[in-house]
Formats: sequence, C-alpha cells, structure tokens
Amino acid sequence: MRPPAHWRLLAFCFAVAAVAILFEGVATHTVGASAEPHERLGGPAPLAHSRPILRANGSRLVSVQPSPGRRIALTFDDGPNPRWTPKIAAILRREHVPATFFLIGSDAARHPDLVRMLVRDGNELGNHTFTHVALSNGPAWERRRQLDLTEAVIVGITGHYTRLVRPPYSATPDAVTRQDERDLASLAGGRYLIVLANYDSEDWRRPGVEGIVRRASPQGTVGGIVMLHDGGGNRQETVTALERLIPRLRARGFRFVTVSELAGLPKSVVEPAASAWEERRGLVFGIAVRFGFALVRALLFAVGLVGVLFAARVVLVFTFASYQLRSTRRRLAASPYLPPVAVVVPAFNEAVGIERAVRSLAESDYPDFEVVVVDDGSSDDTAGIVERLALERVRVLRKENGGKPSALNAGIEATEAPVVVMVDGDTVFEPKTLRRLVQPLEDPSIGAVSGNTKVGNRRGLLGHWQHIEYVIGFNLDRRMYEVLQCTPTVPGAIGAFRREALEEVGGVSGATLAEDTDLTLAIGRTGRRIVYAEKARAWTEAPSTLSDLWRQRYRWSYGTMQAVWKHKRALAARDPRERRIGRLALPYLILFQIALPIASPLIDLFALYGLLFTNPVPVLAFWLAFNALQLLLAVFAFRIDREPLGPLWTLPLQQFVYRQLMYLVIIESTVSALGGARARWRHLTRTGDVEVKTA
Amino acid sequence: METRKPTADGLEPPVLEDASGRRARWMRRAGRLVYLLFLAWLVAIVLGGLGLTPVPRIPFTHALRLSQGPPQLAQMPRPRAPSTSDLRPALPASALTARGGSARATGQTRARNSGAPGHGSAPRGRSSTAPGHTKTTPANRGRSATAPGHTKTAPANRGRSATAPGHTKTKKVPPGRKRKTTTTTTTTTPHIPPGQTRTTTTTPRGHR
Repeated sequence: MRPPAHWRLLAFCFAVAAVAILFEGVATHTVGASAEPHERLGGPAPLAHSRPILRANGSRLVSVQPSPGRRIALTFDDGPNPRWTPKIAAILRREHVPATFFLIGSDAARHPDLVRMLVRDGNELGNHTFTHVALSNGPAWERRRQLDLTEAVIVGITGHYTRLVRPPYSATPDAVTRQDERDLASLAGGRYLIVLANYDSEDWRRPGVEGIVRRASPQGTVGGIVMLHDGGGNRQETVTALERLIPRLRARGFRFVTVSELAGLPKSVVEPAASAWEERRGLVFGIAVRFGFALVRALLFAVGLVGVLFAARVVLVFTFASYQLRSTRRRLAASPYLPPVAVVVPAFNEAVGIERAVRSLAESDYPDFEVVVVDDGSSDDTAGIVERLALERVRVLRKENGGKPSALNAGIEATEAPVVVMVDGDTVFEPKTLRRLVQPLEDPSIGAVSGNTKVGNRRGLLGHWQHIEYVIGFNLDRRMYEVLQCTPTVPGAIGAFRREALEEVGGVSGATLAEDTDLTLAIGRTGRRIVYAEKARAWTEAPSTLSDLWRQRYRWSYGTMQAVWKHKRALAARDPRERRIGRLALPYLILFQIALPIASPLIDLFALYGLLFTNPVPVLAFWLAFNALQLLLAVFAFRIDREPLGPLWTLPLQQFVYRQLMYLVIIESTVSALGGARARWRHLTRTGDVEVKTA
Repeated sequence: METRKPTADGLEPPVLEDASGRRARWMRRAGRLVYLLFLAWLVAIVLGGLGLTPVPRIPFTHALRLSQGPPQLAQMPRPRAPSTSDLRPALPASALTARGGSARATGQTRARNSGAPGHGSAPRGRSSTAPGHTKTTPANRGRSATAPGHTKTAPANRGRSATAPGHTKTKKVPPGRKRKTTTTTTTTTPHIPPGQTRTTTTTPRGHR
C-alpha cells in the first residue's frame, strides 16, 4: 500500500532537509574528510630554492616565474568573507593596489557580490578549493572535485576560469615535500598553476599587527608573493596590518602587482574565458549552494525558535502554576455552595464503561443533582444497561445519532438546573468530585470549571506516558490558564458550566471536532472566568493502543485548529471581554499546540545529524539538559498532584515514540486543515480498564 | 462564529472543511510544486557536489564530472621578463628602520643580520650591509613627495615615484647580485631570512 501523498511529500522534504544540512556541514567543514593535511615531517624539500609560482612538469613542479625584482603580489586566502573582505578591498582600492584573492568555493558561492566587487576593483581571483581541504591527501578525484566546484562557482560569477590554485595549508615552497610535489603536480596537470608564497604572514595565528607586518615584509631588496588571509576567523589584525604594510613597502620602493603579472603571463592565459554553457552551469550550481545554505539557515532559525518556545513554556508554566497554587489555597476556605446540578452524560456505544460511570455519579455525596444519560443512537445496549440499573436520580434520554454536541445539547435542554456538569460515558467520578467541581461557581464571574482528569488505565508505556502528560497538562498548564484567564479547554470528560453561559453562547456547537475547546473559547469570549478545580478528580480511560491514541489526538488537534479558526476574530477583537481569549488563549494554542509540534521534527533531524556527523558530546549534553528540565517540570506537577513519582522513569523514553507520534499527528491534522478534509468523530475502543486510585 | 450561517438542516457547517475539494486540489498542486523545487535543487546540488559526499569513494561518481576546468595548455607561454625598472632592488627592511622605525623592528634586524658589522650601533652603520644605499638615509627622513634624487627612476615607477624615495642609487647595486637574480632561481631565497625559513618548516601547517 502506498502511503498518502502528503506523507510521501513530507518524507521527501525531510530527506531534502537532511541533504541540505549535510551539504552545509560538508561545505563549512564540520563534516567529512579531514581538513588537516597528513603531517609529512622531514625528508627533502625539493622546492626549497624555487620561486613560488609553479607548473607541473611530469611529476615535478617547476617554477615559471621570472625574478620578482621589486614587485610584490599581495595574496589573500580563505575568503570571501562578508565581514573582512570588504574592509580589505576598501584599503586596496584606496591605495590603488591590486591583489590576488584565493577563494574558497563554498564561500564564494554564498557571496557572489563580494567576488564581483573584487573583480571590479581589478583584483585577480584564484582557487583555494571548495571547502578548504588539503590537496595532499584524500582520493585524487575528490581533490579534483574540490578544484572543479570552485572553478564552477567562479565561472558562474565572472565568466572566466582561473588557473591560479593555492593549496590550503600551504606556505613557502621549502615546506613542500616530495610527496606533496607529486600530488600537486598531478592535480595541476597542464591546466593549473600552483601559487605558493615567499612571505607567509601567518596572520591566521594572529601574532599581532606588527608581527604580521614584519613577517609579510621582505627583509631584503627583492619582492615576491605575500600570503595574507581575508577569511577563516577574525581578521582585524590583518586589516590593520595591511594599512601599515602597503605604505611601508611603498616607501621602500616596492611595486604591487597581481600574481599573473608577477608570473609574466597575460590575462588571457591565466584567466581564459569560459563557454556560455559552463558559465550557466556555474551560475546554477552557485544558486543551488546558496539555496542550500538559506534552507539550513531557515531550519536553524526554526530550531532556535523551538528552543525558545520550549524554554518560554517551562518558565511560564512554572511561574504561573506556583502563583496559582498559592492563591487558591486561600480560596478553598469559602463556605459550601450547593446549587441544583444537572449531570449530562452523552453516550454512544459505551456499554463497556457506562455502568461504572453512572454508578459512580449516583454515589456522589452531592445533595441536589440529577444524571441524564443521553444515548446518541448507540448500536449496543448502552441505554438498556443504564435503565436496568434503575438508579434513583438517573434517567436515560434516547435520541437518534447526531454526534456528541447534539447529545449534550439534548441533555442541556432536558434539564433545568442552573449548573450543568458534562461527563464522558467512560469517566468515573469520586464521591466528592461533584461538590468540589461546583464549588468555584459560587463566584458569579466564573462561567465554567474544569476538573482534574486522571488516567485510570496506567498500563504499559503508553498508559504511563499519557498519565504523565495528563498530570503535567492539568496541574501546570491549567493553573497558568486560570491565572491568565485564558483557559482554552474545559475537558469533555469533566466540566461544570453555568447554564446562562451555555445559553448565551447557543449551546454546544457541532462545527468542530473539539466541541469542548470550541465551547470553552466561546464562553471565554463572553468575559466569564474559567477556573480549575484540582481536587475534582475524574478517572478516564486513555487510549490503550497507538492507533486509538492517534485517532484521539487527531481529533483533538484538528478540532483545536478548527476552534482556533472559528474564533479567529477574537484575535483582533476590540471588546475587552474577548481580549483574554484573543490575546492569550488563541496565540498560546497557535504557538504551543500547533507551531511548536510542527517544527519539532527538526529537533530530531538536527539531533540525528549532530550525533552521526559532528561531535556527539554537546548533542547528548543538550538532550540530557532538555530531559532534565522536562523531568523537573514533571516532578513539580506530580508533587502538586500528590502522585507517586514512580511512573516518571518512562519520561525520557517519551522522546522516542510518543513525541514523534504527537508531532506527526499535528502535521497530519494541519494537512487536513489546509486541504479542508472532512473529518468525523470516530469511536475509540473501550476496555473498561479504569482503576480509581483514591487519594 | 459571527459570519457562519446555519445550513438548511439547522446545523452549523463544519469549520475548515471544504466540500468542493478545491482547496485540496490547490494543496496537491502546491505540494507538487514544493516537490519539484526540492527535486531540482537536489539534482543541482548532487550533480554539482558529488565530490562532497561525506562517504568518499562512492563508485563511478567521478565519471560524472561536469566541469572540464580551464583548457589544457599544450605549452606554457614564455613568461614576460620583468622590466628593467622592476628589476631594480627595493630598499631592505633595515633602511626603513633607519628613519626611526620602532625599536622592535631594529631589534629584529639585528637578530636577522647577525654577523653584519656595525649593527646595533648608530643607524648610519647599517649602510655597510646595503652598499649603494648610504645616500638614501637623509632622504628617508623626509619620506615626502619631494624625495630627492628620484627623477631618474620616475618613468619606471609609473608615477608612483613620489612614495618611493631613495631609489637613485640603483646603479650602485653590486652587479653580481643583479645578474644572479635574473638568471637563476636560487638567489631569490636568500631574501627569505634564515629565521623565517625555519618558522615555516616547523610550524604545523594547519591554517584557519
């Protein structure tokens, strides 16, 4: 079976991103063949007495350079660099000094404007390989490619080849061993000239400005090639040294020329024109390199954003949850508030759990309540089971199947109590739950109360993970929402609503898959407060298989997107009552429940890349820090909820299956939302495996 | 919520759903565009960058070389010989320090030219190392455009003579040296002072 088109596309994009990162890694030399040449100490130095412009003659290199006389060719390696090259070029322009720049191809591809500027100023270009690798090791074809790629980039920008090649890590001719000579000669062939130096400024070591000037200055009366660097690190010293070097050398009578002039070769030989095809190909390649770098920059930006969002969430949640914790302890001292309550239980094929759920409601210690089980056209015996229980205060309402919202509305209409409690058909209450849930409604500014949903089936990794998620989500996020008055969701499993608020928003809407979020946002927009009653516990059955979990989360995330879209006007609303929802709840949902999960596959991509291709230690350290932070947050939430910390050992494992499932489901629902897919409630398998752990 | 009108059966239409399928079609088209864009990029980068694969020696990839590089030169053209004015030697580093260069530079000169007589004494003593340059010292003090004695070399300097004082005495350069520099390659190296040569051979060659 072929996976759906959007998954194929996403997998492809993931692969493209991986290639881009890898390419960037190779080009910036964090990945791949070692940049450092093999050290070949000792041995004869066959070029010790040669001038530094060399051509191949068989396996030997021979100098083609006549005497430099009082001429000096300034050369700059490792550029172009957006920070330093313009400064150096400006000095050269001011002093009317031509120089020769040996470019790193990947940098030249990224900064074609700098290359054009150098050419415009009358400077000469040379090839310094594509990624600054030693030309004396590695397979021959790879070394060749290093020259070819840079060649392509230069041709794409200037329309000319350059025969001048400076091998990275080279210095003066006397440092070239016999083996180096052979390698360089075979590489140069009849095409290239190898350009070494007479005076190695060693500016890359940053020996101080005077140190550079001294090393770059001929001590005697004869000039030659001076090696400087305009890239590969901080070049402030080089820039300053150059400002002193040029006038000093001039004062001594030296004359500045390009390398080709020093070699006594005409431009047409050193920089032959390329064919139009080669130029176009170079142009395309340069664009591809730039695109790759831009892609990686965008990805890195997204990863940075994910990190910032994650850290922001930790700080926000921690701060506001602890604040809420302190302020509610005071609130609990109030007198009991016990208005008549209507409990509405929408039920569709809940035969497995309905008996237990209804019994737990009937056993509530609340004085004045009735339970209405709305059977939404079940095909199993849900209604019959409840009727046969023949419980006082419990009645059954049968209706044709119309979805959960319609069942809730039917229940609301069939009752009159000023407070409506909505409960899922698989949810088990504790005897005190109703009392604790309704209590906050004593405050007339409060429109709805969210209970504390607990996972009743904590079996296996999946049960543990969801348990942890619920504890964190309820005890931290919901407390923050309460403080900021921006609760986006009162869970369908347990929530109490003021009837007048329900009537004001026109009941429960069926326009979204997350009717609870939709309803909560609607009530929030009326300016009513929504609070969290942590002690009003309800035990619910969490999906026990990955596919059920997937379906549940798909409904949640697609429903959330629908609800956000439906209430999008609150974002720009002027009405002060809507501000909390518009300025806080919706942005929070968009950032943390949609954007953050969508971008988090990048974390995995970069983590994988970091582990495989770069130094794994910082990657692992970062990963551990991330987990430690999350664990800290979870411990805090568990302590608040007085839950045993045991299940937390599964938390680090969440990184491997659970997190991926969570973001994939968001991506899937985003695709659905963009494409306008028709999505329907799908029933989840119930096992009735809920275990109540009364505290 | 404000703009949504109930449908005929009194139910709100589902949010974000598009029964016409127009948006889904548009999405498919956009998806295909993204696919093609990335594919084109992959082709460009892979064809251009095969040599950059982190796993070297992927078989046959070297056969895909696209660039032929600059054309082969059957025979390297004869290099143009430098002009006579260019062949005139410049002033040695010591000449510049004579005009009051930093003490550090002087110290270095001393170290380099160890054995040269009269070094470390008064700057004038340095004239012994560069014969023919003695007369330039007074001119160096000025360093100005009015550098005396420059008229003879001016055409060779291509107008830059003003900044290069003290070149009048080129004819007094020992003829032996001049002949050497033009005929053999060996004589250029003595101008790399021994101290520097030593540094370049012993330093690790890892730039950057």
